[in-house]
Amino acid sequence: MPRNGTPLRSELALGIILVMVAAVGVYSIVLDPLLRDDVAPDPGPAFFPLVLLALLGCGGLLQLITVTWRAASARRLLPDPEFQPRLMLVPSLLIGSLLTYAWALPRAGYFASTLAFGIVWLAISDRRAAGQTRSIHRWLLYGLEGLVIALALFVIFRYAIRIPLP
Amino acid sequence: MIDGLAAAADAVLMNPHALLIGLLACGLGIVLGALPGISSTMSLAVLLPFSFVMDVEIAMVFLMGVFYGSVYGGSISAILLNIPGTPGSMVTQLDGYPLARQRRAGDALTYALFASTVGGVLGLVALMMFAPLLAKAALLFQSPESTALMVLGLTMLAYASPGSTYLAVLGGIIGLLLGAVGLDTVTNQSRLDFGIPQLQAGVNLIPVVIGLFGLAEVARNLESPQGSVQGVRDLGRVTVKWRGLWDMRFTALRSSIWGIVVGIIPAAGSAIAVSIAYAQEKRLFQGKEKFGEGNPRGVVAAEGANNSCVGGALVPMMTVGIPGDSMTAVLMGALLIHGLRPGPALFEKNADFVAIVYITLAMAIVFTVIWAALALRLFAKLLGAPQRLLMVAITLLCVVGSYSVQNSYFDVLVMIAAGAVGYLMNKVGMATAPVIFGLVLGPLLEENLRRSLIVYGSWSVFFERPISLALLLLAGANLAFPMVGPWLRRRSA
Repeated sequence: MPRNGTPLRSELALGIILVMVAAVGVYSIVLDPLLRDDVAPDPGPAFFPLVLLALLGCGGLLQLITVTWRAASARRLLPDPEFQPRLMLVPSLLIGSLLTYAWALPRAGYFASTLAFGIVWLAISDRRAAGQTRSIHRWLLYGLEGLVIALALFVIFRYAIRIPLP
Repeated sequence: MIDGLAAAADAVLMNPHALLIGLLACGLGIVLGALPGISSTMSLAVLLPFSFVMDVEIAMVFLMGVFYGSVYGGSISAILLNIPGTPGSMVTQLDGYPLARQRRAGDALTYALFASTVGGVLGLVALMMFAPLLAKAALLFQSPESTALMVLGLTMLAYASPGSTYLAVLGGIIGLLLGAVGLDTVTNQSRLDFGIPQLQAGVNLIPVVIGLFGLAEVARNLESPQGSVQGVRDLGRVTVKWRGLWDMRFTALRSSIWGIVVGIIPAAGSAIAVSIAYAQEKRLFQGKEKFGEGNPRGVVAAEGANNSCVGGALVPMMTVGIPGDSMTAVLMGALLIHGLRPGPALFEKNADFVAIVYITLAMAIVFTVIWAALALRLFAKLLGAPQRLLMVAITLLCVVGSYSVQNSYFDVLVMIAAGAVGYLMNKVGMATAPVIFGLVLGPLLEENLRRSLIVYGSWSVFFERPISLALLLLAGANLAFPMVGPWLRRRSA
């Protein structure tokens, strides 16, 4: 069962997301005519995912109902302390920069994109840990560290396990 | 069995390449397991792509080395930094860190190594004893029993996962759905691909594993600034006190047995095993010894259970194809990619490989002792490495590792998406391990379910066959207990 206690907005959001995912999945399967042919007793290719989507949808709906019920009883729906912008800013930046890195990899090549990503994140991490990024010496250090990491990965993948990197 | 072991020993132990890979993998596993913020599952996940270019025997040497090494490595940071490197080491720190503060870090690490080795060896013996017996029994299973067993396995995995069982079940369903994406094996029709051609081949397990266990943990660690962690760096004099170790023999034995028993239960995991073993020793020595203030017995109890869990968790994976914990789920995924399906048939068709698993686990235990004997001070020094280097190196390894599986940028995007989803799942208290269990077991479950219906013609087959019915009833009880349990307790109170 969904948890008890003070209802949180994140719990409500989770219920909504689960119901939406289930609805989109069911929609994509039901609309596909090729998935309709089931030769009894084989229930066909749509059966298993439809059962799972139904379970997911029901689970999401149950979550929605219980959170709404609890919120109505408590007359409040609290923000989740886990979802404070202060906590999520840097992880979100990481995901965003990784998408940029994945976009840049085939265009700028492995070394340029990896070095740029490495230096930026070494600087961010160091600044947050020790508040030091201003001196040219630190930036040179990040460059050197980024180069060593990029080179090490390149050598391992290219020469030890023979995977061609872009 | 003896012939198979001799052949496997010949194939692995006489191969210098395999020995070198095993030694390096074990060292790497110890270092990664020791570093705070890097769990054993994360170590295994980010290093998994390396195994795909290896022969299956060498891949097993590599993966087992990382697996076992990282489990032992977790004790180093628990003792020196008071931060468990892995969930299984969370109890080690209770007595290990106070010992280190008393300038007896070397002693604590020696006790941990002793208990790890006893636990590892007993886990291996249990694996060799029980796995063939269970596999023989599992050979009697037809597809209805296999279907019911997988349903039971999934409910147990959800039940034993940390956090809400309800959310863990939903996580398992999400994993099963991911496993259903792509071409259906019976009719060859593509499902849930949303017009994306890359999804017709299905969702690749490796980028999802790397994202959920690697990138998601990096993102979580980034929430707070990570400087170098303070702790005890001076190991003091590292001498083996044979008398002290001999006094701990029964504690090591008892806790190892707990580790094996809990490890065999799918998804129960080392965190539960170490808690039970520690509590048992506390109860046995109540009034005679104090725990939590630097008692070596506490370290031995925790580490014996933690390491024997490795062998225990391999039993259900090897015999019935149900992973014992998240690490064995990753290991099972690797075996599937190498074309080996864990389960009773493995013992019939690939008996040589089964023997290789035994040998590689034995090798990992020996290599861990060698590394610990030779390089303990080096590992202690590595704990002081700047966290920024680690964070960037692991993030880049996640990207390059997921790209390298199929030389595909799409896999990198899948890994990033899995990382973002895994991070959010952690925040809402939804365990990520059931997603991997679902993804690994999903295609097998669907195949067995549909084969049962095609062969037996009706759903009633699941309820007419006694073993299948019993397994389904157990699965139902697993799901019902979290709901009924609190109600029963309230009533009795």
